[in-house]
Amino acid sequence: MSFLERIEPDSPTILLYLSDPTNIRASNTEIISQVEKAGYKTIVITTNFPSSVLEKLYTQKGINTDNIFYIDAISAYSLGKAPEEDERHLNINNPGDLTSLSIAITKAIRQMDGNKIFILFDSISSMLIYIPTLKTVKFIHFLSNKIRQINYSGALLAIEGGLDPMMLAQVSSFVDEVVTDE
Amino acid sequence: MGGNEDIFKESEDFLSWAEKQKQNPDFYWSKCFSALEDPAFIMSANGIILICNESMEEFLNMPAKDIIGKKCHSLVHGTDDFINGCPFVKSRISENRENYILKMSGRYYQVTVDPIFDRETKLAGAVHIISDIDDMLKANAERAILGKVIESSSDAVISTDLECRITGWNHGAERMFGYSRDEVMEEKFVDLLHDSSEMDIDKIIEFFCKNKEIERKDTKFRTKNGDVIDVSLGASPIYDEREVLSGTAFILTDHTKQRKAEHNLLSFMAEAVLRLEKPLEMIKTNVRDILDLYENGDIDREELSDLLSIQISNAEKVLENIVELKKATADMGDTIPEIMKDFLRQ
Repeated sequence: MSFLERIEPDSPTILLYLSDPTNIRASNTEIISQVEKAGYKTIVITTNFPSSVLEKLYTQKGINTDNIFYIDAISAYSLGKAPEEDERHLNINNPGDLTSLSIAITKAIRQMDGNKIFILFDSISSMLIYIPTLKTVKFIHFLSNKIRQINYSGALLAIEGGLDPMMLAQVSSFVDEVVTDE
Repeated sequence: MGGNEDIFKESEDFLSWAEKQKQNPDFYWSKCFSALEDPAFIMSANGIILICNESMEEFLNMPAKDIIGKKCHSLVHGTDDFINGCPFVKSRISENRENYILKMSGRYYQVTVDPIFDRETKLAGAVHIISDIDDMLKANAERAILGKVIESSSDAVISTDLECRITGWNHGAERMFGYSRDEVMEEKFVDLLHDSSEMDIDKIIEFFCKNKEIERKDTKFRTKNGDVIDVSLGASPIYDEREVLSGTAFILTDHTKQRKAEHNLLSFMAEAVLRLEKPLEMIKTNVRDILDLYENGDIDREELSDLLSIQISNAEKVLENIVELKKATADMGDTIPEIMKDFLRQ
C-alpha cells in the first residue's frame, strides 16, 4: 500500500511515519511528492533540514513547490540566518520554542486556502535534540489535535527505533496509523 | 486387634492392677513415688526428711539412709538453719504451695513445697520437689532474645493464623504500614495487599502442608496513608509444640527506594538513548546524506556549509543535553548515592 492510499480522502488522517535513519530525508521528499501529485497543499514544519534546501531538493524532484508552506525552525537557530519570510515562509528562532512554533502553525493554517491540506512534521527525532521527551509528546499532542480540528491530514516523521516504548505508545495513540519504510 | 482396642485392653489391665494394689497401699504408694523423675522428699512439720525417692538419691549422690532423718537445709544448702526465703518455711505460714529458683552446680532448679495436713487440718509436713528447669529457662531466654530481634527488626514480621488473620505485628510492620498492633490484630493479612489477587493464601498453606518452600516474591502493599510500597515478601510456616501447622510468618522488606532508584535509572537510560544515542545516529546519517547531496550536485558549497553547521549545532546541543541529564540525575533525591551525585555534577 502506497503512503497516499493510507490517507482517507474524506476524513482527516494522521500517520506516524517511522523511517530508517539513512532514509528519513528521502521519505520526506517522497511523501511531499505523493501528496503534491494528489493535489494537496502542504505545510512542511522542519526542525531538521533548512527550508531553503528542502525547497531546492523538492524542485529537483520535479515537485511544484507553489503550494508548499514552510515553517523553518532550524535555520535561524543553527545558522544565525534564515530565508526571507514571505507568504510561504515562516521562521522560528529556536526549535525548542514551542509557543512560537504553535503560533506559526496557526498562522500557516490561516493562510492556506481549500480543504485538501496536508501537514508534514520533520521530525520528532530531531525535535528530541532540543526538548525533552515529555515536552515533545505534549507538542505532538497539540499538533495532532490541531490537524484534526481543521479536518486536515498529516504525517509525523521519526527515526525507526528512535522513540522509547512509552513515548511510542503515547504518540501512536494520537495518530490513526503507524507506518514504516516499505 | 486395632490400636484403640490395645489401649482399652491396657487400661483394663492397669485398672485391674490398681484394684489389686488397694489391698497393698504401701507398695502402690512406693511405686508412684519412685516413678517421679524429679527428686522429691517428704518432710515432717519441723523439716526433717521422712522419705525420699530414687531421683533424690541420684540428685544428692547419697543413699536414702543418709538422707532420711536429716534436715533439708543441711543436705541441700549445707546450713544449720533454714535459709532466707525457704519455701518450706513460707509454706508453713501460708499453708499453700510455695516455690523458689535455686542454682546448683551451674544449673537452675525450681523447688516446690506443697504442705501436707493431718485429719485435723493441722500442718503435718510437706512434699518437697526439685525440678530441673535449666533447659527450659535457657530456651525461654533464647526465645526472648529472638523475640527482641524480631521486634526491633526494620523488616516487617507478621504472623497469621491458618485463616490468614494477623496474630503478630512487630515494630518494623508498624513503621512500614503505619498501623499500630491494636489496629491490625485479627484483621486479614491479604487486605493489606495492593492487589489481593496477587497472593492466594490457601495455596501458601497448601504448600506448607506439603513441606514445600515458598520463594520470596516482589509485590505491592498499601500503607495506612494510602501509599503503595514495593515489598519483597517471604513466607514460612509456623508449627505449634505438637509440630502441627498453626499459621504463617510473613517477612516483608521494603524495596520502594530501591525500585525508585531502578526506575530512575531506567528513565535515565531511556532518555539517554533518546536524546543522545539516536540524535548522534541522526547527525551521522545526516552528514553522510549532506555529503551525498553535495557530491551529486544537488546542493552548492554554501548550502553544504549551512547544512554541516546545523549538524555541528545539533552535536553541541546533544553535549548540552548530556550535561543537563547528568545534573537532573544528580538531583534525583536520596535514591542516588552522594559520591555518584558529586561525580555527575562535575
